[in-house]
Amino acid sequence: MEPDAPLQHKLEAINRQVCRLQRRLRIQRATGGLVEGGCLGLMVVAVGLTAIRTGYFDGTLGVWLAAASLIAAIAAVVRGFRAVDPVEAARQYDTSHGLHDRLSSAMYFTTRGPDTGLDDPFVRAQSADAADFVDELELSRAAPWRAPADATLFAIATAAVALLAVVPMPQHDQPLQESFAVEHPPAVNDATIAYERHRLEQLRDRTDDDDSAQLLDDIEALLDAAEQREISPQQFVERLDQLREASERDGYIDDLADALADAAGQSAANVPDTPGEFDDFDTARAALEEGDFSRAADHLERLADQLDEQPPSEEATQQLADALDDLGDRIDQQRGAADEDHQETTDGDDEDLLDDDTEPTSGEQTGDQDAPSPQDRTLEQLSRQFSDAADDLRDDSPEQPPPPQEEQPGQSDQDDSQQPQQPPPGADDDHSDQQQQPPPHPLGQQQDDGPDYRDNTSQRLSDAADQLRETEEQQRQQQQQQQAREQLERMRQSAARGGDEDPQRREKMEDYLDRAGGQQDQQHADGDPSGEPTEQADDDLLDDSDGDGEASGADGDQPGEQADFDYEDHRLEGIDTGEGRSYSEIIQGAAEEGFATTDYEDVYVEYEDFAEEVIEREQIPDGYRYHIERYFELIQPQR
Amino acid sequence: MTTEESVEQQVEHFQRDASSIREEIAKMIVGHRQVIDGVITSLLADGHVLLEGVPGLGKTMLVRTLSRALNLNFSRIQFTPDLMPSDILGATVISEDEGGAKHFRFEKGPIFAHVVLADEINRATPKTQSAMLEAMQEQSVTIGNDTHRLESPFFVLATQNPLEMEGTYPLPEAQLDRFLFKLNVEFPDLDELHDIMDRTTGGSAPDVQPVAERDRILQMRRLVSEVPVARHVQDYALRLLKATHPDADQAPEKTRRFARVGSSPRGAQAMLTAGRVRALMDGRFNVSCDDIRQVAPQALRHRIILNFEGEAEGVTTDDLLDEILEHVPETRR
Repeated sequence: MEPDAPLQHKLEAINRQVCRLQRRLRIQRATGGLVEGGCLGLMVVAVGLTAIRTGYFDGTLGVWLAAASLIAAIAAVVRGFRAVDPVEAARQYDTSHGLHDRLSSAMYFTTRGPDTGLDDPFVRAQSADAADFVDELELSRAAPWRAPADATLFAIATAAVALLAVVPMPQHDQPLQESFAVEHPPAVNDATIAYERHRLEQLRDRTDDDDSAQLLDDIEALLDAAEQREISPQQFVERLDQLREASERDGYIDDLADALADAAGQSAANVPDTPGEFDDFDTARAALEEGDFSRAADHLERLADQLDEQPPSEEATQQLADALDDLGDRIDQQRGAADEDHQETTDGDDEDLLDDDTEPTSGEQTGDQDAPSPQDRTLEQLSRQFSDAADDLRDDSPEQPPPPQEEQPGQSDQDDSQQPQQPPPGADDDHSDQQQQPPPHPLGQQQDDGPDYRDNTSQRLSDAADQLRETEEQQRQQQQQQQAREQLERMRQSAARGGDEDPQRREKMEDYLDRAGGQQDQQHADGDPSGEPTEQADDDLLDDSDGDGEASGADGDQPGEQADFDYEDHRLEGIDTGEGRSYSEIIQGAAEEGFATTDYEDVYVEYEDFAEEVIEREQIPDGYRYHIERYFELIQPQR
Repeated sequence: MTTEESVEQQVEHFQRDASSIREEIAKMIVGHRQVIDGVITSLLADGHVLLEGVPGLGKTMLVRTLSRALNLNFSRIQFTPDLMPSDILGATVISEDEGGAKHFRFEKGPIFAHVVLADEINRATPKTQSAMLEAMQEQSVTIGNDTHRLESPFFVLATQNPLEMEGTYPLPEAQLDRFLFKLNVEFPDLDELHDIMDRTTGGSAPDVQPVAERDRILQMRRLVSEVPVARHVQDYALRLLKATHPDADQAPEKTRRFARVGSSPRGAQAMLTAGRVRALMDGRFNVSCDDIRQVAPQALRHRIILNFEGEAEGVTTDDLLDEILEHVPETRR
């Protein structure tokens, strides 16, 4: 049954309204799908962008990611743009307009309903009833425009992708950052380091001992570590202590000097008079008493030459033999006493070493507890040489050993073992060679110049002189090491005071040291005997903290001018009486005469700053501190 | 009303008559609008109603008024434990005619009426309760070899007291399923009580006049059956039905937890039939999802059986249906 025209017209009106709603719903769903797919695509892009920018994938992945994102968005749009069921759309009208499913039922009955369709009067009535509401339908009520549900997420994803595209990212394959460098607080300030380096250079110039040079190298390495702040102040002090303990040596040279001085004094007291023709012996003995090994060796050598060249009288020979014998006995006696003293010292050192868990001494390293100490060996050799020399002078029996020059070279070692003057075990091989192989003398010359005993005596004395020179050399090396240890001690005191981080102080110190070095060079060029006095002056200016004020000439003048301006000590006394020129006038006058290239005002400021630093850094008694400050007040420039 | 009336006119008359019945009943029954509508809906949907409420709320009065407004036969059966099926259905007795000849004669029971009030039906034994099954479903009574048809309209209204459960026999599921609706008669509020007092304690009682005849009721029933139902509305009713089953995908959490058995397909039939009645009573030609939603509690609450946990927790089937109606969308997604 065909619907009547009015009903048909109403049904078409319903269909138009439903179609409009369908289109709007599809657009809305497509928009929602676009946003939803866009969110998914942006998330994929974010992950891919991160992977690309961090180097996990190359740029080609970006094309795939863009394609995947585009496909996701298109798929979402297509999914959202799918067809909308007309009954579902009509029901949205029913819901929004309160039509109790009139439109949806009409759409169902007229499109997919039972076969009767509009033949059913009830269906026709129902469709007509639904069509009565067509004019009331409003599309905006059924499907109002509203923002897609994922719009916020889409905005966040867009912002995230933009952020990922802009923010710099680290490459995953780039090398890891270097581990954090531990920068310790300064153990000593930079000025002190610069100053200590300067001192080290000075010590290095004066050092020819390998051990001392090694110690200075270790100190410099320690300064490097402190400067780079690679070690903490505590580690700095610990390494200083280790270096100091490692540099400790058996101080037998001082004990040896004391023992020889005592022996020489006792010998001089017991045998005061020697023949006048042997003044060199008295001088050598006096030098030994003063501890001057070099001078003693020179005079012993001179005595040996005298005995070799000029035969003494019988009486003089006897007196010299007695004196030599007495000196040898005294030295031998000192050997036992010194051994006991040294043993006490060694025991104390051993206890300290054990307490400090440091390395054992050389004797302990060898495990030879009964081996004679170097001091004993030296004393024994000197005693034996002086006693043998006396015996050679005194004794002219045929049982004397044949002179060394008559020995065959091949029999030397074998005969040495039979000689009563064989050096003790452990004696220096070089010395044994010298003793066993004296300089060759023609036989005739020996007969003309004197008896064999004089050759032997001079040889013994010459050996003793060599022994003393060797001892003097060891003493000098020990003094160098002592200076290095003093350097360590100063550094330890500086470390105890801590360090600051004022770079200006370091610059001032370096500038000062450069100026001091430059003036030294200038003095070298002027022919000034600048070696020791100049360095001593530096030491007094830079580091002398005792404040005794004895080196007044050097303290008040430019470094190294002590020798040229000694007379100024006398002028300084005039300050107390108010006469004469002041310190500043004297120094300024010297500058005007060409002794200085820098204005006195400039030099004074630097000196004053440095002096204040030293006063602050060093442990100076309060009384001396006042004198130092007063001194700089006196020499300040007069305006 | 003639048969030549158009559908529009029929629906209009249906709406008017239903409204008349409602208004006539409302003369006697104060309040209980939903109960009255439910009873009228069941009557026009060719169903039966189970009324549950405490005594004294006017259940018997409602039924009596309904029968009087419809000018239908009314019988009341007070169910007791010693009530026998023959007491309801009737029995064959020996009768003697004028000639002195004796023969068997079927004496109809009280069930042979248009409107039957089965008062406190849960106090009868299951045997007696089951005697109602055939009459309610088939609208016929079989005694011996004779089957006696019950005259339409046949409308059973059963009541039960939810409080006095001692000595009662709860209706079995099969018999509960025969009831189209289960209506809960709530206690009236204060205003309604005032009206009740005014009407019942005064000198004159309201006079209920018949507003419809038996044939009109049958005509209205036929019209109800002609109302078409769109598929999406029917789909909604069926999804509601499925949601009452604890093992169904659509079942919400409470149903899964507290329901033991869901509704039978009679529940969906009841919803759709009652929805048709509601649509016509509203003057519409189609059933809407809203109609289904409105009748769903009355049609389904006695068809859902709670499990032990639900009984122990004090959960009612109305709680489950509220959640089902809230979670099941009208449109399939």
